[in-house]
Amino acid sequence: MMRERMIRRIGGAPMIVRRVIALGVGFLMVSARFSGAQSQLTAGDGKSAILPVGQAAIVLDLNEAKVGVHLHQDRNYPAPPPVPMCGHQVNVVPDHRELTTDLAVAAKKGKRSLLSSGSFVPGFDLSFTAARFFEHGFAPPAKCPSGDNGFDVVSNGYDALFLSLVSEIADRKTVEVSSSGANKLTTMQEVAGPSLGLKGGWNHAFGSARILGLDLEGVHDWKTVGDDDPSSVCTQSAAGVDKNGNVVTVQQCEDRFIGPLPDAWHGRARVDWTQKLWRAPKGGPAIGFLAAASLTTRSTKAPTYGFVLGPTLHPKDKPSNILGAMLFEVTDLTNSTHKHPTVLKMLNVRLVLGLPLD
Amino acid sequence: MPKKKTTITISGDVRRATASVDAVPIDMTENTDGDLEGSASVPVDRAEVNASVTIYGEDGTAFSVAIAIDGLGTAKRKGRMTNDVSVRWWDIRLKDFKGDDA
Repeated sequence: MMRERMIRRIGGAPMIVRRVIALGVGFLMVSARFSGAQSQLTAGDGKSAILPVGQAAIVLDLNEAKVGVHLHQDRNYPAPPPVPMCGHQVNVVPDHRELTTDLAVAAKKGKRSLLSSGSFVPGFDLSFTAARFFEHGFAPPAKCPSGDNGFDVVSNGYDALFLSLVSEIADRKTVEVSSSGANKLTTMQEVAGPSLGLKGGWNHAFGSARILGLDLEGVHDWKTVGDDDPSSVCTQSAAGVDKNGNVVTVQQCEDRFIGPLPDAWHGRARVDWTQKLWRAPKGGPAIGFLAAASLTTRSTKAPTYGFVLGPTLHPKDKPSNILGAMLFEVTDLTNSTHKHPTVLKMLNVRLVLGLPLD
Repeated sequence: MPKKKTTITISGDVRRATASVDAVPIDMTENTDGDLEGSASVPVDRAEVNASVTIYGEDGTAFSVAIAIDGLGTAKRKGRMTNDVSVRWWDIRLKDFKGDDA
């Protein structure tokens, strides 16, 4: 049950070249056990509803590079008594709990680069999730079959409650300029910006292929950059005059955030919907879609709204895994941050490509 | 009374599954191939053994079930979930073990 997944994200046209040059590195998820492992697909300023996949995956994202490990433990609760149905005692799947640990070295656009000019930039995400699944069994068949050959019916789905402890630490380069004095002192340093928070949510599976997810998240960020992008900071290393009398300067530039960085809280509410729409004949690949909406509030800024919508492709015989997806993301719909004045600047397209390992 | 080992293996991308032998649920765990596998022991003089499996999948899930008893043989079943089917329940009796009948 191991597969590879690669994610590539392409922004507006002016950003494409820069993003293609930047190498996205993967997110390796190792599923420790089978039996309906639950994983999450990152999209749209957060994560999607819990999708029923149990797999290893490598995710490549030109903006959000990650390399990490996903560990998963699944344990059944005591089996409920068999249910009498069509003259048989039928076992139903018991409720179960899942514990997951995700550890990833991660990068975000312009804020944390896994590889920056060939050098490794430290920073990681760590989360622990506990989920409790309440299985709802299945309805009896409309007409009981004769003989002992069994029967086919439709699942009543499940509900899942989950709680996550989420943390992150990032090493960020800053520049601070003193506000007084004739010659303003400039200080350049590297600052560790940790965050710690809780996320709780609920998933409801209608039948077998439609999942609704809701979650709430509250996180405290220390020395955060929020949605800010870094500035290009240059140090002049040499200067002179060429033979034509033009002044020539040699500068070394790098991306840095303007400090000091503040502490802040942020909260997020999110709703997701996933569904399979169509399947090729004879159990071929399936087409589905993922839709999500999120509201993010920060103690230092106005709320932002995000939306995600796009088709997903599921491989033959592996309907719970994603072979590919094209997710259209709208970030900051109301331009609360004043950084997304046009639709093109709000819109991102995230491509997901999966390669099975087994 | 000597006993024989009954092994139930379920392969495929099923979401959840459970199984029982003689109406006693057995613990299904992942084997090295990534399939779900469970086993139970039955007395060798039993004239009939009932094994049942319940599989939860989703549209498009292809799966197979193999039930084997030491020295008696293996019964196999295959199936695929469709848009109208996401749970498959089987009851397989000892008489099915007189050769493979996939």
